[in-house]
Amino acid sequence: MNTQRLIDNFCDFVKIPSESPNDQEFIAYLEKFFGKMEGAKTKKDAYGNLVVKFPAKNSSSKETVGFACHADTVKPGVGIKPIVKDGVIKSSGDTILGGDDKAGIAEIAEMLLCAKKHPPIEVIIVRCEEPGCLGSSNMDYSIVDSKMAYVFDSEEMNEIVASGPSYVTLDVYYKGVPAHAGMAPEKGISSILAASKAISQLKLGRIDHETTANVGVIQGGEVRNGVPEHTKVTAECRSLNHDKAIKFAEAMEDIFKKAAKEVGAEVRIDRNIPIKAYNLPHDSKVVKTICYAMEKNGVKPNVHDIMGGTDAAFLNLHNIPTAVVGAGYRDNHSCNEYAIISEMETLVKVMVDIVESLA
Amino acid sequence: MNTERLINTFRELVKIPSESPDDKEFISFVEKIMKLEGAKTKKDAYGNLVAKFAAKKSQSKTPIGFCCHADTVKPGVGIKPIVDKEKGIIKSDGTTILAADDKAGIAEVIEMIRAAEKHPPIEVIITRCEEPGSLGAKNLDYSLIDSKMVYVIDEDSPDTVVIGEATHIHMDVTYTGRSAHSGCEPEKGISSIQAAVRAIYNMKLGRIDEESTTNVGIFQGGEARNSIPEITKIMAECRSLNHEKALKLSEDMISAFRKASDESGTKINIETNMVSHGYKISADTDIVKLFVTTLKKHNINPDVKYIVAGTDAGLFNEHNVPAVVVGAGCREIHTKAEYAIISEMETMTKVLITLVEDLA
Repeated sequence: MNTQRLIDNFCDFVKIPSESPNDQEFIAYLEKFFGKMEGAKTKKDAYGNLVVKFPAKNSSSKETVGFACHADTVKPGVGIKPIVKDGVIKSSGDTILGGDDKAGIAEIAEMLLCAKKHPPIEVIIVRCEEPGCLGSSNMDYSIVDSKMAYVFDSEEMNEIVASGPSYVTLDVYYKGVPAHAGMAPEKGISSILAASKAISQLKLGRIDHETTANVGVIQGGEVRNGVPEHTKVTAECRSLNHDKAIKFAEAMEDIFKKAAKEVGAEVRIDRNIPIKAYNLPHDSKVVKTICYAMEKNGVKPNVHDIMGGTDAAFLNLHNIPTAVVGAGYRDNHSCNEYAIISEMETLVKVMVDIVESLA
Repeated sequence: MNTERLINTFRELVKIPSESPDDKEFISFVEKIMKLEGAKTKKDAYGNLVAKFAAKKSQSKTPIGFCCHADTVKPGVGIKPIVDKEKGIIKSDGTTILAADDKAGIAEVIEMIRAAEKHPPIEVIITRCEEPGSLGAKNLDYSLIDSKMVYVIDEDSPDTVVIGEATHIHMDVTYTGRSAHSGCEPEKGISSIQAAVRAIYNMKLGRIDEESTTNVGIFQGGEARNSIPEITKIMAECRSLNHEKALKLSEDMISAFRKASDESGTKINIETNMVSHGYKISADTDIVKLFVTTLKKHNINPDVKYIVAGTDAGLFNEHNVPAVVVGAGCREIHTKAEYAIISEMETMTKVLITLVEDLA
């Protein structure tokens, strides 16, 4: 492994701005960057996600393993000036560093240059993760061959996220009856009152160790002096246990409906389940392989779950067992963000051991 | 009086959008009409329009005022007035309000000016931003007003004569909680929406008693589904014909808002604004008697009453210009089902003409 090359590539990457959704120029750069490597074939889907395919090397394996990162960053991410000092890389303080997630991309590049043997590899660079996994949710999975994958998009190098939640979204539309609030309030039915009655009875926040619920947005009424006709409530619930998530969402719906009935308003509820819970067993190939590689490099794996949505959730939804792994950055989404060079080095070694063990 | 001309004027007026506060273009349009009819016009610093017409075939030196407001509630852009001759009404196409509140009144005043054979000096006062709480009348430069009495044409039915109005209090409430990722660390967040619903749920809303009402008109909270909502804003109001009752109601609402904040650990900021201080005018005064007499001449049985809605009349009265509110001939205002009744608009125009001709 060449640490200087790893750092240089990383610094080159973060200098190219890619604040979501303006990450296409950076993806074009990566397409060229990876495309120049031996054996690489690049493909972009309609959404602009990049897939780079490398054939097996010194291996007869036909099982493709995927390495995924996202191209976009949060703001402020334009004009990043990386400073390498005392074993860390940080920004000049007026921007983020972009270690989230370009540290991961630099590590994958270094792994590709170092691995002496490997099965077929796919590098998957998705767009617009930060605004809510738009790239991975809109991805054309027919161009993805991976049988398992790793998303390098967490902080510490020992992290392995092996399970994620079912995510149920509820869009609740109350329709009352408008009326002038001063002249004829008795002719009106307040949609805000209906929504308030419901929400005040909902259990929200942490429901149990694996379940949460939230009302994130409410928008009701148009004028102060009108009994409000329309109110929209944007809610969600999550659980690592799929059945629990569905059951809890149904209970929320019942409360929303009951309140409408009590107030005399109409209600329509749109329910969606954009991601489904996944749970990669500790003895599954994807988890076992990386645990082995970490332990070989003196890293004690920390296998845990996550309640947030990740790109891995969408890969798992498309039957590609995928774990989220650390990339070696800290304090992401802030101007204090930094990357730890020793962790980046270790992660490259872990990646090399993953692909060599699969070869 | 020319009914066709009255309807055409009205149709022209409603086609020009004037959702509050974007009513300045409309006011300029009305100013042009007033100038064409011979008025000297002035706009005050706030943008309210005062059009002064000299006496016609009259020695009277006592100006009489007619006031309408320029703005409308939403949705008021792209209004397509439809004249339903069979039913004798004008309505919108159902996607917007009609804006007869208050452009029916403006059309009637214009027709009155055009058709009256004689009249004393007349002041037409077109105020801005009545709907958000009589902001125009509140900021009106009263030194421009010479009228000794003002008829505010801003009620539904032509038989209405409003001689008293409610004290009307606005409350703007902001809850500030703490945002956090709703899936990963909800325990770190404090939901401002949950705080707000707790207050509203426990509040008595709508008709409180025969002279008092309350409402929560707007409720906006949070920014994203997956974040514990930090900021929630509420726009509420209360009214009562009894000033003390209105004060008490607003105090009760404020304490309910505060209690919910205390219980939830959110911060709260409340701004209150008394948009109208109630008034009551005696039924024996000239301004009331004159209108009642004129209505009776047109075989209308006057409905002299108090209302809980705030209109611009309250502010004229506060500035010692006696004002009452009369009807314009519209129904279902502030809704997409709003309509104007053509026969009532005709009647109202005739009443206005008789009124100014009798004063000439």
